[in-house]
Amino acid sequence: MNRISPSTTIWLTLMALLSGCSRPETVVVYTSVDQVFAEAICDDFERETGIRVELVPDTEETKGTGLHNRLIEEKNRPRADVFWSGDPVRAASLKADGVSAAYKSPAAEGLPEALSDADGHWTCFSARARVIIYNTDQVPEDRKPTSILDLADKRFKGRACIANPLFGTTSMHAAALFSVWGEEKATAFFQSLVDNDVAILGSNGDVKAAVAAGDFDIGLTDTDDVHVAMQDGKHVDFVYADADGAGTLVMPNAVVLIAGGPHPETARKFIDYLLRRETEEALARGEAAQMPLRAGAALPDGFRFKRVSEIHAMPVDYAELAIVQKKLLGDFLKQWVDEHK
Amino acid sequence: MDFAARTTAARRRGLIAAAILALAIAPAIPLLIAALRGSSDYSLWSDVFIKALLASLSLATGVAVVSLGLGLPLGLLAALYGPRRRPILLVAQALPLLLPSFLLAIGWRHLPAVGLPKGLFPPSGFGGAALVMGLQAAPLPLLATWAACRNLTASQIDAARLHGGERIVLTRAAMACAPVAIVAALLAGILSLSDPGAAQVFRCPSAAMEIRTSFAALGDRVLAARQCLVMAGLALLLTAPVLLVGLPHLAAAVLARQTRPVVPYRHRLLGGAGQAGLVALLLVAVGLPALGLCLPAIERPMFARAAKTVLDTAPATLAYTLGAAAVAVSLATVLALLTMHSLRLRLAVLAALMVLLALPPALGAIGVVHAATVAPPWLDWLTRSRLTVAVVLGLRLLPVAAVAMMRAVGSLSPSWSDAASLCGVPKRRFLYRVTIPVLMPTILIGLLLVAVLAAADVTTTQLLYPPGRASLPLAVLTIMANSPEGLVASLSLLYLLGVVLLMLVATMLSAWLLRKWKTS
Repeated sequence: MNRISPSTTIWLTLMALLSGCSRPETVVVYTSVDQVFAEAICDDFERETGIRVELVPDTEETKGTGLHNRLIEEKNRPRADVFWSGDPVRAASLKADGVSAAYKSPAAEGLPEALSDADGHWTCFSARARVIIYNTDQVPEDRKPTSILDLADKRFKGRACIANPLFGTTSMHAAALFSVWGEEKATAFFQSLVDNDVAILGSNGDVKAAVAAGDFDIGLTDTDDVHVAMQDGKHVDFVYADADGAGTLVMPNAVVLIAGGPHPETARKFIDYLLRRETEEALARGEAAQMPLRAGAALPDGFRFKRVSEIHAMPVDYAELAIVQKKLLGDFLKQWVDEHK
Repeated sequence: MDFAARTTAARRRGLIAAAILALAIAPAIPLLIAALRGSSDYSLWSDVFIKALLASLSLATGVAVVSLGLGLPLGLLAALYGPRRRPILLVAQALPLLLPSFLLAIGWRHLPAVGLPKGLFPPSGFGGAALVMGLQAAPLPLLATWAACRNLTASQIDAARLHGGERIVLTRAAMACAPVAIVAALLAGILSLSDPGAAQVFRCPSAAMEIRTSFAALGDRVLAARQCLVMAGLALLLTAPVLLVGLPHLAAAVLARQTRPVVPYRHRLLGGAGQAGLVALLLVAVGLPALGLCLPAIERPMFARAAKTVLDTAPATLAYTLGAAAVAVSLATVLALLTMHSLRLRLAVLAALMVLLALPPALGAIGVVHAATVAPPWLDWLTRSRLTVAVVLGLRLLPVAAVAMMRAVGSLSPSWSDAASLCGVPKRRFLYRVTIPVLMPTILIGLLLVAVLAAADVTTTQLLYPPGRASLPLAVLTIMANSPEGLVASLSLLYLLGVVLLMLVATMLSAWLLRKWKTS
């Protein structure tokens, strides 16, 4: 009998690994939501439906923009079925670029329709909000910040930080400021950040870590980052940015069906799953502590954040923000970062 | 064989070598074409890019200087005075090279958070980045110096010792090994140019970050490609003079010498200094940042979740790393065998390999992403699969494998092939029965080295991996900013243990193979 030589065995094993074996039903999900949070929901979906989720998360530094550009690049021959965005602005931008398809999920019942796309290209669910994180060892209660204008306040000169506004939710926040305040006031604000030596870090995660380590007193970040830091026992607390003024920027998740994706059926099932009340409740219980959009969704004990309906939200139109953000990225924000990073 | 036949054979060998090198640069070609023919909305020569380019060049110089300053003296002491436990200490020096730079940099940044004094960690900005990256790269010139020193003959060292004692030995050996060490240090500097990780952690501007901004934030592929080209061109321009001087030494260093090799001299002070230096370098380059990374795993262990991530990513990680290793070592072995008879061809191939290494990894990866979007679906197995990642990584790491294989091929005794030829043994039979078995230890070490280096890569993998098939380091990178510290620490610890285990296996396997070969 002929024996198979060791080298043949190695090559056969390698080819099997490289080519991949037979696959069950799958759905390809690109997500700008932090991997550690999205993965838990995808695992539940796999267990419940038997459909395998092939997840492509973004790195923290290129959050959102990296995958967004990849989706546009792949537009003619998409690999993704669903884009689970951490904010609705990139979802709206995909609609404008002709990457998304309309799908009105029956599972979206109970979610506020005003927050989602009227044509069904993107649907919003659980949200995060922009907050100011501060180090409780370095900022006494009576000096704690309340507004993003405090980043430019003299008492925090050289002691405040933000993430790179070319990426992630910071770029959305910048677009919101230009939209709500107008160009003149927003530009002056960004100049005041420079004057106050506000540091530009790689990501919201870096902002959280730097404030927790005491490298800075305050920083601008998202609710999920603050939650993780507080769970880790860091000496930090937070305030909703501009809760008493222009309003806090609320950023719901948005789910998008990709036009021409390879698995449209499983994609719809995944979207239905994400938009269920149970998923909103699971996201509230999870490490991201996301705030449900449904008014009646159950919150876990000791939930740190308010319900979205209780937050004084910044009045923004997400579809309009997509246009403003696109313009700012190639124009003002790029120049501002180039000049001051 | 007559002159005409020899010329034809030499020409054929040159053509095959050129074809392999062309294959290695193939992934970058779509982007090179885009860079030359496409249009961009932004100016290539913006102030910020020029500033970032200068910062990157300064950082690369800093990395080269720090790594040379540490690597050259320690390599000399290790080779000439044989400090105690030298073999294990030398093998362990490779550890920092096999870990992703972002992991070590983040470990440094975490040191104050785990309660260690602030003075222990390097400052932000250029100084910190150069120091940390230089420490990580120091093993390159160290091991190169050690290898070059081993190529000196015992008679040369004895003559120097008789002439003026250890001072002269060290001075002469340093002068002889410096060209190879400088080339290795420059290589470390060049590699740091395309690595945005550590520079970003230390808030040091870099051209690699600008390239990522162009591609990821502005979505401007053409601009990113042009920036890659400028960076590679500048790196080559600046290093060309040194390469011209150093390459002949490197080409000679990969040759075998039939002379009495240097026997380490027992010198209590210098041997002790060598041992202390090697231990200190290992502790500072790996020990301290590993402490910063892994300590939270003791306070808040999350090994079950970390193990799940390891298991989930294991098949893809294995596929990428073993595939890359197979591609790189196969091609490298062919290149080494092709160049063994001609110094000129070896020099040309080494120069081309250095050029390949100077190209930013993003150039090839973005090129393949671009090619995949215009390629027909039936080519997906080549452009959008795990095979794609393995092949692109393998081609990227070809220079590393090629230098190792050239060294091994150079150690083959020409008298064996002469004897086989006189006895009428067919060349193919000689290859399978003698050459390959003799090269087997290096092939295995090369496979493991490329596999671990490929595993540490995140740039290529991040841009090319098929959905749901992330590698372990990529998973660590994507979760580390937002996950609980315990999870990140547990994952880092498992990663570190895995690399150490692989190195142990590699060392034991090669020692066993060498013993087996010597006794057979």
